[in-house]
Amino acid sequence: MPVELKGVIELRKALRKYAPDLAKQLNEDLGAALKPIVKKSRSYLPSNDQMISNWVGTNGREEGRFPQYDERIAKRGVVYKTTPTKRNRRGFKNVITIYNKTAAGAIYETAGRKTPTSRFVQNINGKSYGVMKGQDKMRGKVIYRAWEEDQGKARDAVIRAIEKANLLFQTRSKTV
Amino acid sequence: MSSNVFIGIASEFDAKGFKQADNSISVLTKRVARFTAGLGLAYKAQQAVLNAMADEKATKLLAQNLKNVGLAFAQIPAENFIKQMQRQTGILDDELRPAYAQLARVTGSVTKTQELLNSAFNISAGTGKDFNQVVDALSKAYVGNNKGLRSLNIGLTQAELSSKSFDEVLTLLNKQFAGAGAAALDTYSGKMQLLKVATANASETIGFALLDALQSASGANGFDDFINKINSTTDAIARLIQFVGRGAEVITLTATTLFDEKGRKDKVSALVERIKKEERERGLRKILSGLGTSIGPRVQTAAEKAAELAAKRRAAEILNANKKITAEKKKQLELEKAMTKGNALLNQANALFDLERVGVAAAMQNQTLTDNERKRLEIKQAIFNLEDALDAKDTNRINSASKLLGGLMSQFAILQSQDSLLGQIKSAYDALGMNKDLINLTNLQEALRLLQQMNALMNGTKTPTASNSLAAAVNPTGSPYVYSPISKPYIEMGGNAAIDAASKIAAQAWDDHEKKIARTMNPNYQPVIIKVESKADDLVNFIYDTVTEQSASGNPPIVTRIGQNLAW
Repeated sequence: MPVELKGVIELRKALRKYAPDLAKQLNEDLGAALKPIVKKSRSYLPSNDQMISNWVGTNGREEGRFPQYDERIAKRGVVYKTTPTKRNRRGFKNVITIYNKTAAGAIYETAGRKTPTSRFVQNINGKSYGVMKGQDKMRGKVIYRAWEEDQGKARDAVIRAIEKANLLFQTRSKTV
Repeated sequence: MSSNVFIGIASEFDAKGFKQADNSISVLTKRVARFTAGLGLAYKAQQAVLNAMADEKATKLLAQNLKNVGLAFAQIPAENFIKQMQRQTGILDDELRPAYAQLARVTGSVTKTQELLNSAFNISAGTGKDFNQVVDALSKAYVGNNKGLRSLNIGLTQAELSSKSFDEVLTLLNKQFAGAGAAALDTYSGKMQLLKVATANASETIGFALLDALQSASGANGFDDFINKINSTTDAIARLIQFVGRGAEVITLTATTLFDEKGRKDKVSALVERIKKEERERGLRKILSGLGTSIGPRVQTAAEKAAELAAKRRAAEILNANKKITAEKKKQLELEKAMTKGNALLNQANALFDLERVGVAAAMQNQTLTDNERKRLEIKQAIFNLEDALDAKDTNRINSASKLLGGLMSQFAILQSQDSLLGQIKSAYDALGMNKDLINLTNLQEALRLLQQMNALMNGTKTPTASNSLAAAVNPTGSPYVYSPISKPYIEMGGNAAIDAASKIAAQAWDDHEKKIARTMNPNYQPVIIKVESKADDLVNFIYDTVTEQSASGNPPIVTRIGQNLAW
């Protein structure tokens, strides 16, 4: 469950406007907190040799066909984002996000979550068994697995970075 | 993001969209409420209007139908009758009008139509059949087609329906189902039906919305009270609406003619005259609606009288036509009967010249038939008899012929089994390899005779001679020992053993003769032919004597088998 913060978006706007160095520092701190997760997630993606041969390819979903898996493309698709997302139906915007950009990567992430005995899942697991970790909808083999194994360290680092930037900015504002 | 796989680490709530949504929803809610309210009212009003329009259309159709059959004068009485019947029976005018039109077309009489509608209501309630179905059956039965009445299963046989006239059948039906309708209405479902009719009428006049208000405000005690209040209130409110409308018209009139005194006076007086005229018509309609078949006959107009006469004439024509049809049917039946009888006799006569039958009869005369063959011929004759009985469709003959044939078949089966048994015995003997001569009766008898002869010879006595009765039987002329090959009868004996025996006997006799009398040749030599047959010791003895005597006359005996000469 993401941590609800208030005023982060305004803070960052203010930082960009009034304290760009702090904004830059914040970005660096956020990157430092999130990059290990991303790196770990990428390591959980199998290589092309470890994937079933009839699924390996470079066709993406945008071509109108079932997306094919490619190691390089899938790994490049695991990224983090520090800009806010669109409002969801409950009215929340995600400020900091780690996500799987590619369709094939997302398919591999969640394959077996609902149908663990399907032929596709069994074939994939037969080639290279991916451990699924996490709870409910945050259960997967790649980023969810890395997040679960991280045990909240990255989250705490992100919050600390934001609080640090806020504190520095407040201090600077008072000073000025 | 192009996938749903993501981790949101920090999120922030943005209420801006929700506020917009809240505003939109409240605005939408208000609009919807206004829209549905208007829609509901419009729907109710529209439905009431639609019902009224449908009612008006049905009324016009009925009027046209009555006009087509020369009963245009009966439109108002018909409408009043229908309204009254609707209230009394719980049958909607949507059903009553077409039924009225149908019966009016068939009968041509208003009185008869109303009578049949009342009967149809009682029959429908009593049998549980649909009202329209009963009306249809009655209209068909009026012109002689009783199929509809049979399908209602009203307890009348085909014979009763055919033999009785329509009026008689109707009287019977009215008697059977008298009071059934009233009894059906005195139930919960009947009351509901009356309520349904009352509400349908109300909908046609003032709409469902007003009806709901009436229901709650009436304070009615039970269904009857509520129904009465609906009916009376409906009329009152309809008049009220009319007066209100009239009031608006007056106000409008006044406003437009405010500065025109003459015009105002003219228009007001015209309006008053119109109101008075409408009131008179309403009063008259009320009087007419109060009348009906339950109060008594009205004074008939000339047109009504003419229509009634025409209807009576038509009914008489239909009755005559039905009688003619019945007479023709009777003639047809008699003709069919006569033809059947003639055909049966024809078949019998033709049977005399049937070659097959003649052949069978001739074969039966043959005395040489075996039991098996005779039985077969008898069976064939029985088959012919049964075929004749079936053609004649005579039940008694069929039964007796069938019984006879069955008996013959059983006997034949026994004979077949006997033959089979004999065949089995023969095959058993053959299988055993026994000498059949041992069980041959003739051989046994011959052996016995020879023993007797030997005994006689040993004792010096003569062997017994044939009995006189047998001699008399074989020689009716009285001369026992003179036989001619030409004259009759012969003594006929069959079987090789018998011939052998006779041969021995003859030989013995000849030897005796030779020993005693010198043989002299007779120019009138006529050999005695003795045909040998098995059985009977007497015959054997008789042969001996015969041969002896013949030998004395110089005629050597010739012992023959039937068909063969064994010359001595």
